[in-house]
Amino acid sequence: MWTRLLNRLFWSVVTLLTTAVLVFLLINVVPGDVAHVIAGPKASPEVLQQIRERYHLDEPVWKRLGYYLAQLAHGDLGHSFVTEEPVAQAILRRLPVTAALAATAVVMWMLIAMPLGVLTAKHRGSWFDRGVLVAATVSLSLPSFWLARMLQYWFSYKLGWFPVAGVRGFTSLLLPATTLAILFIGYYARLIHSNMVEVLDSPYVRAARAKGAAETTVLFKHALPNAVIPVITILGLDVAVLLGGVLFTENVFALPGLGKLAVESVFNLDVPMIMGAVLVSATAVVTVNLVVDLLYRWVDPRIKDAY
Amino acid sequence: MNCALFRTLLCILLGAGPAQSIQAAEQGKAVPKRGGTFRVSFPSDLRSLDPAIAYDNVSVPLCKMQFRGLLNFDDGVNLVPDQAKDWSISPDGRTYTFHLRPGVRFGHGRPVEAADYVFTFERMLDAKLASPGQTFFLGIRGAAEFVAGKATHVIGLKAPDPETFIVELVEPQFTFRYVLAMTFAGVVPREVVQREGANFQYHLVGTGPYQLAQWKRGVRWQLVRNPHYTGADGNVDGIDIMIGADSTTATMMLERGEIDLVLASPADAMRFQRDPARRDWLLPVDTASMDYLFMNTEMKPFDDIRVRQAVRHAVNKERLVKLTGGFSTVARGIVPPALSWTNNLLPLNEYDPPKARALLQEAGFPDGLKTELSYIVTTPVFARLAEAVQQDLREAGIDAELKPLAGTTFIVKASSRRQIPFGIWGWFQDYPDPSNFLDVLFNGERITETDCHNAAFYNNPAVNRLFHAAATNMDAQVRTKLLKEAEAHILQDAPGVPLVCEQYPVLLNPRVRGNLGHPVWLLRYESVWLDP
Repeated sequence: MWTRLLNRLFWSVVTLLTTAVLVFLLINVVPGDVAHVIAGPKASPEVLQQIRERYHLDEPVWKRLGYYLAQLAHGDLGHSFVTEEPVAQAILRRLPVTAALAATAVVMWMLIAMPLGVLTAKHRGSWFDRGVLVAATVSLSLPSFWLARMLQYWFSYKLGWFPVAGVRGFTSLLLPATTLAILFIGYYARLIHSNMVEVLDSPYVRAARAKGAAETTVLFKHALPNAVIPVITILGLDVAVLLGGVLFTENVFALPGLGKLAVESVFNLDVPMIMGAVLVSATAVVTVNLVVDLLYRWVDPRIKDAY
Repeated sequence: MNCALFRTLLCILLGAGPAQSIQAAEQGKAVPKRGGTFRVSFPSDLRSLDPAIAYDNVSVPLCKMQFRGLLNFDDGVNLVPDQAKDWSISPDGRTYTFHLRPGVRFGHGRPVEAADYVFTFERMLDAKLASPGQTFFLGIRGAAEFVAGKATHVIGLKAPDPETFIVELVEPQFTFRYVLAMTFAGVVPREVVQREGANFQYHLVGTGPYQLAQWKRGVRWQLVRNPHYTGADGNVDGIDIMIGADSTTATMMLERGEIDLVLASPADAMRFQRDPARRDWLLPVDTASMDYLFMNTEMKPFDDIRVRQAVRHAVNKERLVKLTGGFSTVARGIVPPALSWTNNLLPLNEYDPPKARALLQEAGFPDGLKTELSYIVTTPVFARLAEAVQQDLREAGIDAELKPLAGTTFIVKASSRRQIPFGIWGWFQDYPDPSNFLDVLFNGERITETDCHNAAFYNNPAVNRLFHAAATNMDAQVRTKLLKEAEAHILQDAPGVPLVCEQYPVLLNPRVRGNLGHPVWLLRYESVWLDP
């Protein structure tokens, strides 16, 4: 098992390194000059040259990549070109906002999707099942920026139930989290539904029913834990993607999260900050993958045999 | 004409309506109240409010609240002493002498000394800081040697006693007086900067009416009163700056009463303008700026003056103003009306498609010509202007394919030699002198291979001589004559076509009072006061 774990860790590092190199090269293909972003469009040639020298912008890409990787090897993500703020500090300040938003959204959609999935599986083919299916398809098809703007318009601007935007305590997270939850509820309700349908047909569920177990016990104690196992993998990946930043939702609600940081950095051609945001996102995906693998072993002991 | 009267008339002419003028008249009579917190919102974070770094239209007005220097502007574009008691310029125009106003203190309590000004100017010239303001101070004697690392101090900066500050220039430079009013010249306390180093931007200390209380990057900035400020500015107790809300979100917040000021998008501004109930929430602020078409005189077909003149006659400027929602005025010439002078004798519009076609035929393009019109796609006004100009040009037989580019890509290409033949760009004044438009944008001696502001790469030796004469002449009237002559030459040679002078549409909560707009500073937050 330890060999397998070390192997996974090794490939995780290779994945992150490859991501770093590829993204660095891609950013540098984009035409533009960050010196103009730093000094403004009206800066003199002398000042622009000073800035280029300071950040090695006038050196070849491979040399700059070398500087960056050497810095990374020392655990230093560097400083923003534009604000001169340490990248790690900027990311650490933004991460809690994104993490709180992601966590709230996950709790919201799982709390709703799980009973929906179980009940539609139990009553499959009924009007309720069909209604949930239609609603799920609609929620899956909604564009996030439109949904976010609609919720903001009606519940904040028109009704005044929530702040329009910004960070003002937990209430500020409710509408953005609801936006994300609506986008994911349908998908997870159907995912749990199909897994439940499969599980409900399995012999141990029939055995439980034959023993005379209450239907609630059959559904939520015997069937649901098994139906949820495949969902964990997908949930893990979705959480990782959310931790990388929720661009449109953060933007509409002016939440200073990682997604907003990444977008601003791209507009500013702020290479160290873009790299930092990408690496955090990639690390989240790699780590969550690893954690999900380990969780599998805990949720379903039979998977231990695979290691 | 009186500036306030002019603005009021302008608002009426542009359809801002009587409510606007009534509000303006009330503001003129009302007595400012002290207190309250003014809340503003900006879509993206500010790079820094360090006076050596801040150099954009959003940062400079905020920087000025914290940092003050020797000179300032009155309600218009006239210089007045700020933290200097008096000042004089030697007859040869090379030496500026300032006596500091006694009692001026930094936010941490220490009185300002002339040595702080020497330190402030040397800091800005230091190549390690790469201040965008450096270029304005290179005319100081010894500055070039200091920048090159050949001297440890700038010999042209002197502090013979704590209250006297002397600046010596290499050669007479009329515009240096304006440079001293820029926020780059805002004095900083030397011991604090030396102690904080690069972290000074987080521990800003100046002599302005406000000081930085809280700064959470990407989230919020908070300014509070500077307890040691003794000047007249500053009515509100504090200013809250929220970062991150886009224009639509910020406008909703304004309407919900969550913030007091938004720099509106053209669409939102027009929505408020059309709504009689909320028209007086809209304040169009005149800017000393000019959006223009440039034609690269080194590239075909614009190396032919007849083609350039054809473009000049093909564009309908009055229509462009309408297409900006009325938030602009026609740019008759290169010098905008907000400056000390503008040539009002120039025609409002030279739109004449038959003449444009005749000029093209004369230039050897009887069937018209094809070209590309580049512009910055993320600037909504440029996109609107590009589309309108494209339509106008088509009438004259010029088929201009639109080429939208990202901001930095456009800037790099337009300021590099032989990269962009035809484009739309804008210039906002650094200081309110006509040379800041004419000399900066059309002086052939300033042409460089890259990073060149003369995007037309226009080089007329006669015009260059006029610029040099105007730069070193200390007689305002003679300078005006020289610069007007240069402007006439440029307009005749048509390396560019001035299109419009933009207005900033600002949306304000009705509780906001005071003369917010200013031709140089754009917004003067320190003049704002709030109704309870």
